[in-house]
Amino acid sequence: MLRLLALFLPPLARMRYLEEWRADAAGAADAGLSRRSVVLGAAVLSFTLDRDLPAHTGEPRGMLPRRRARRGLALLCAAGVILSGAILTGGGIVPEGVAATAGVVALFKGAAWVVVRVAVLIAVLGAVYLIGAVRTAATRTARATLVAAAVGPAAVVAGVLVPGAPWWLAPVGFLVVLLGLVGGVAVLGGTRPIGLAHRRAPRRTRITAAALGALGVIAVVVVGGIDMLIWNPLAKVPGMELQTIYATMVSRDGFNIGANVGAVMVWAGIWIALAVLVVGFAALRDGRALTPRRLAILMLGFVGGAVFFRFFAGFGYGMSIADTFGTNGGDASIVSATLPYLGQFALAAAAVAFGWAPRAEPRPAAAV
Amino acid sequence: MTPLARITPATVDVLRVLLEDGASVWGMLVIKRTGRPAGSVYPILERLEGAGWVSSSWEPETERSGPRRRLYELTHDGAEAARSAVARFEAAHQAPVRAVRVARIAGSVA
Repeated sequence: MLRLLALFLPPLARMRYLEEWRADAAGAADAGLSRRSVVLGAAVLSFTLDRDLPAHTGEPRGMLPRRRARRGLALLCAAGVILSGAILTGGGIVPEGVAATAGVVALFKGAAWVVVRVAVLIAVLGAVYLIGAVRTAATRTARATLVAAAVGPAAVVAGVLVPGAPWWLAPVGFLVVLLGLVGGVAVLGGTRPIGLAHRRAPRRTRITAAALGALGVIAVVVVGGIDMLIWNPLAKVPGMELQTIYATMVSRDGFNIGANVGAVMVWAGIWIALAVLVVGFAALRDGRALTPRRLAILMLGFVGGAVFFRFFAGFGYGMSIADTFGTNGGDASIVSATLPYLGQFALAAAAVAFGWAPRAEPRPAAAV
Repeated sequence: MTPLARITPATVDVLRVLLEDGASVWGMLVIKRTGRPAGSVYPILERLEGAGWVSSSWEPETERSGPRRRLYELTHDGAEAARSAVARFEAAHQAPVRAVRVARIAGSVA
């Protein structure tokens, strides 16, 4: 039991208190006390221990709430990105056309259901981190954030998942989450300034990580571009050849192929250029600060940005297809239905990677 | 050393025990002498240690086998602060009693 309670303590305090409790339990009879009282005392201490104490963290005071707040905010941002994506895509794009068999449609509907729940879970986890932050920060602003961090996600969860919940519960929850975010920022800003660790990565590591990331960005842009030009039109107008589709769009709707292909090329070029620029910078001496985590944040951000702005690059296609063939303006191919999830999760992963900055190596308190 | 945000009656009891003993005291004896539950004394000792009022150390080598006992004692500054805190607490809690006594005496004289 004492060993279990010790697990709830910070690593640097664990062995000290476990040995102390075990000695107290072994000698409780000598002091005329019961072992049970030791266990109860250990339980209370494991809950109330000052977790931000430098002796327990090996860091200056204030680092723990700052780290927890940063992680909590990162998780709430990740959840917000995913839920925003779900709202913008009307609960997730469902493929149409020949390839959209019943199984595929069911798969995408199931994925949309899972994604929303995953986002809510991430939001709740973010709230837990913020609660941990304010418990250790213990300021008035932090306490306000605690309430917002606990109530906001709970209201969103209740509004989304509980049948018959009032329609305003989830939006109010989002509002409270936003207030929690503001409070979290205030907590971060209010924490005493602490010198940042200047992390660097070797050139070989930087180039490898940047190149892998750039390959990922290029792959998404190439697939996304081909989808806009070829796969999505074919899925929107099943049974018709691509050339016929374009010819019909030109004749009936005055579709400007050159301008629209140009828009796709500009879109692709911007994101590929950004990724290549980062690879080039990582190879320079000035790029030493581009650690693999920072590169991942950048590249995941590019993936998310490319997928988001793909909507604008392909807008002309969607409108023209809809006007020409009397379809809706939405995307229909399997790739079009998949990419938004990829973009949302890339941005969410970038947010989480930003929140999970590595901590400085803890310095154990002097063994006395 | 940092000042304590609040000094509860239980904190005062712990400080009294540490002041009376003057030397290193085993945590379980602090619990016994205060008559307070371990769930109250353990967090107080941890808070006092964190604030620099108290230092703790493992007991010196003994013939007893098994885990070592943790001993607590007031630091130099902590002892001064503890005496001051206990005196303030006693003054604050005796003042109402004195006021009642004075009022009673005044009433009986009148």
